[in-house]
Amino acid sequence: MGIYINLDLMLIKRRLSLSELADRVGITLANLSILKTNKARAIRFSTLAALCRELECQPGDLLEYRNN
Amino acid sequence: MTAVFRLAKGIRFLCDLGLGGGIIMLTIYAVWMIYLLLSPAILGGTRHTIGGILSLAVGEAGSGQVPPVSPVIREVSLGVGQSVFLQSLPVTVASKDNGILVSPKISGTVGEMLFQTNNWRIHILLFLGMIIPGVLYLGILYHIRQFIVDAVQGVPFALDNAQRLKWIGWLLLGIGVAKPALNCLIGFRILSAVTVQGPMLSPWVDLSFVSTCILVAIFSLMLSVIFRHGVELEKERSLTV
Repeated sequence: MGIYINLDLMLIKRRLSLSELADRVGITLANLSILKTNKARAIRFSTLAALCRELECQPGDLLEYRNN
Repeated sequence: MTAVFRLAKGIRFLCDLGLGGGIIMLTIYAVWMIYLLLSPAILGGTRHTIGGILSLAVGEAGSGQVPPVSPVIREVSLGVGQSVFLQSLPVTVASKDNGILVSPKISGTVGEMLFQTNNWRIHILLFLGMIIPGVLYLGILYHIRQFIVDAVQGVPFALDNAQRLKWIGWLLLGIGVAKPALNCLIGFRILSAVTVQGPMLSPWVDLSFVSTCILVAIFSLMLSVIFRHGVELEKERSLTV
């Protein structure tokens, strides 16, 4: 049960690599990796906004709630 | 930050010095005591005599066998125009057997009794009275040293450090309890082997030492709980993207 990040799916859709996205968003590759592997405990609005800007999507496209 | 690092390195150096010196001293003491205890059995000859100083609390009541004693007031000069009055109580301490020789110097409500003994049970108590608090002190120094090493490396809020603070607290509590308890044991053992004529004597417990140890131990245990919370916050911070 929790919030999951569908970063993999969005990266494939936009044909972007993780390091490229990290450069564009302005966060470290390590932090983006934490986000991608669903280890993150929290996400800043500024990071979410930057991700949505670069991936041209809505927060709902990135975040998903799973009851498992 | 440089000043903080220098201070931390200075404290670490002092801890290293204390640990090294403490381990050497305790080892020499342990070897010496083991030699004193075992040499009569192995090499033959009479048992060795060991001396010590026992702190005693002096009560007002007498043993009942002698008339009440009147204190002698002595004036002791401390410096130019300064002096204090010390109350000396005449007390006679006689050894019941030849095992324990005593020479009391009682003044005020706390007195010191010099003693020499060849009783092996008291030898072991004296040995434990030195070794147990010594080992606990070394344990505290070791944990402080490791704590500082971690802090200098830039990770003060680590689970290991919280655990170290907890250990420091328990070790301090151990010293606060073990040291006076062993002193009391030695005191009662020696007093049971002598006849006291004059004021009532009992082993003296330094309550200020005990209370300080307990207070610092509680503080350290409390700090360990706060550190544990700090570790959680640090983890939360590092996992916030």
